[in-house]
Amino acid sequence: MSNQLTINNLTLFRGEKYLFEGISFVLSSGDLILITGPNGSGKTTMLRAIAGLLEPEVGKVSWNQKSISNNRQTYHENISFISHTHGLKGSLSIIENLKFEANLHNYRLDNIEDALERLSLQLIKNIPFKHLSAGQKRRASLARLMLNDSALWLLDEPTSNLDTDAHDIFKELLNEHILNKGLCVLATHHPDAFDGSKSVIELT
Amino acid sequence: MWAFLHKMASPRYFYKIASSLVPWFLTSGLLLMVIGLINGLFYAPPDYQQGDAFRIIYVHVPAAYISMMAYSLMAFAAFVALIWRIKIAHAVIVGAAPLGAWFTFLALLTGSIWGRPMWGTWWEWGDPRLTSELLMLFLYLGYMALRASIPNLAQADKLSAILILIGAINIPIIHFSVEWWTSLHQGSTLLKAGGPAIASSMLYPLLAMIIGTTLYFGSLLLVRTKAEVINREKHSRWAKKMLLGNQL
Amino acid sequence: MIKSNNISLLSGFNAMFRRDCFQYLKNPSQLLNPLIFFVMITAAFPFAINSSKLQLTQIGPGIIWVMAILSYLLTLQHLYSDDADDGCLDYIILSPQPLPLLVLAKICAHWFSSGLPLIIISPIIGIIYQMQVDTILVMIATLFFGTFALSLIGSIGASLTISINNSNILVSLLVLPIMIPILIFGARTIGLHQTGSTTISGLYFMSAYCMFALSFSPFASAAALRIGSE
Repeated sequence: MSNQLTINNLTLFRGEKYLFEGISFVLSSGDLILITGPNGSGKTTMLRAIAGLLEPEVGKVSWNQKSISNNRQTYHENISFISHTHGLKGSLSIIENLKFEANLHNYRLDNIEDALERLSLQLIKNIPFKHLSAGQKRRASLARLMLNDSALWLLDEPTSNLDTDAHDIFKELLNEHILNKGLCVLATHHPDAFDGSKSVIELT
Repeated sequence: MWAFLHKMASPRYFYKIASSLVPWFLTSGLLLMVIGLINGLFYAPPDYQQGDAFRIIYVHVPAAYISMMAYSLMAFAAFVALIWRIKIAHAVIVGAAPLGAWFTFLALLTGSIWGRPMWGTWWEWGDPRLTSELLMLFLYLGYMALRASIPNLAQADKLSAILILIGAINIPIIHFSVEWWTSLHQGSTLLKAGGPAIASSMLYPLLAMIIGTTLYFGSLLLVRTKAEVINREKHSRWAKKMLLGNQL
Repeated sequence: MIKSNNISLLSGFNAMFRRDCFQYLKNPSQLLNPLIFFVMITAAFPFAINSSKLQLTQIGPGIIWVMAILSYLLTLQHLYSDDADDGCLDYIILSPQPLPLLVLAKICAHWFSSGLPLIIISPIIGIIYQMQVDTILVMIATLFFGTFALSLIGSIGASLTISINNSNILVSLLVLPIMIPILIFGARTIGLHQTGSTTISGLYFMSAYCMFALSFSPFASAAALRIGSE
């Protein structure tokens, strides 16, 4: 099944200045697009606008030719979003957090064990999230991606705080996703680490 | 009509129209207010029950009417701003809020002064209309407090618009409180089924005051909204040109 | 990779409700502090006022109701700001579940963890204020509707202020005007029962108020949360 993400003339402000204006692109199945730029250039803001958390002043985001603001449920069913902050509760353990995610979206609980194994989280799955190291927290956050086969991945600096092994595991996951006809928008400081991208948007 | 309203959504057009309307509203409003006040204070006959004390009606009723009308206007503007995304409606709300708050305070104050000789008390906590009017003052203040606390303008606009809409339930409560509950306040005098229950010599000054105060409020609202619009648009070319004259 | 099932509204509600209740359990001080506040201040009044038994029964309903509202307002500030701080709110908004449904689940979890304990503690306060058993029952009934209404209305105040730090006072300021009718009816209903009048009309009003709040609060809160996360 082929999917398509269309961004049309995306323009966003911060205060009274433009962060970026007139960004347009089309992403189809099997495409990866990178968003790069220094800190504060608007990478996170653009990702949030694509996810639908932000309503742009000008511009439109469409999924399979339908605007996402009219089609929220379908769009949200098809995306996995990894944000800068982890979005997991500190007082709950990894497995409790992932179970909540799975129950919220009605994913199969069997996927959780696979996710934990793939990202080497088996040993720490019962520790409260707030006691984990930065790298472990990031890996736990990435486990979300394995809970479901979402078509579109929106990733905000997914490899921050990851060691080389974890980095490689993530790249494997990403390649599998792309080969499986998935789409991905990735914001990163290190565009060279990801080859095979369809294009790169550079924000200043 | 719709074309006109559509054009008004443009800040520049609104500014021009508002500038030309303000003098008309102001002069006609003040004129009607003066006529109404002089007639009401001096020429209307004294009430058979209340004597001369009833004359505060000429300030109290217009103030109370404006307090409710201002909030209804704000609620309508909030609806327009949120549903149809017309940005200038936010400026209208910002302009109207302090005015509405002051008129509410004035209504409460004059009502209290009137209540002292009439009902023997400055305030009656059990009375539903007094309580709901006081609540409306709190709603205005809460709106202004919320706006002041949110630094991002767009967020402040939208969130405070939601707040205004939530509080709009108070308007029918104030209006119908005298019918739904037993109240010290008298029932409807003007909008009754059999016509107004008040003598014409007292009625006409009252109507003049109501219309005059409304026009006066309108002129103040236009001035405040103009200021808010210019503040929001100060980076646009038309605003710069107008403010700086030909010094560009 | 195993594919997911279809989205079920009930599972979403359940998941959110259970997670929030679990959170409250793991952070008991958030719940206990306002409760202790409620008990201590209501218990302090008789010391300060030095009133007779008759006076206590007369002022009791009003004081209990005001203090219940004040201490309940203390619990509201964490309703959404915790999730906003650690980034969970983004995920809640991005879930395919309808946001008003998840908001309702959070409100119910909040009432379950903050309102129920208050209602359970209230008979003790009732005894301090020399209330008869039947009056205490009426008080529990009014608090039942009142706390639920307060959770609903307070959620609107909390959702409007997620981007503001230390928003406690502001939330109270925004919520109080809309809560005054419930306060009036709640306290007066108890008072009416003490003087022997019928209380059912007051309870009808309060339940109607709850229903009315239920009809718009989740949607208003959801809209405010979306705007506040931008």
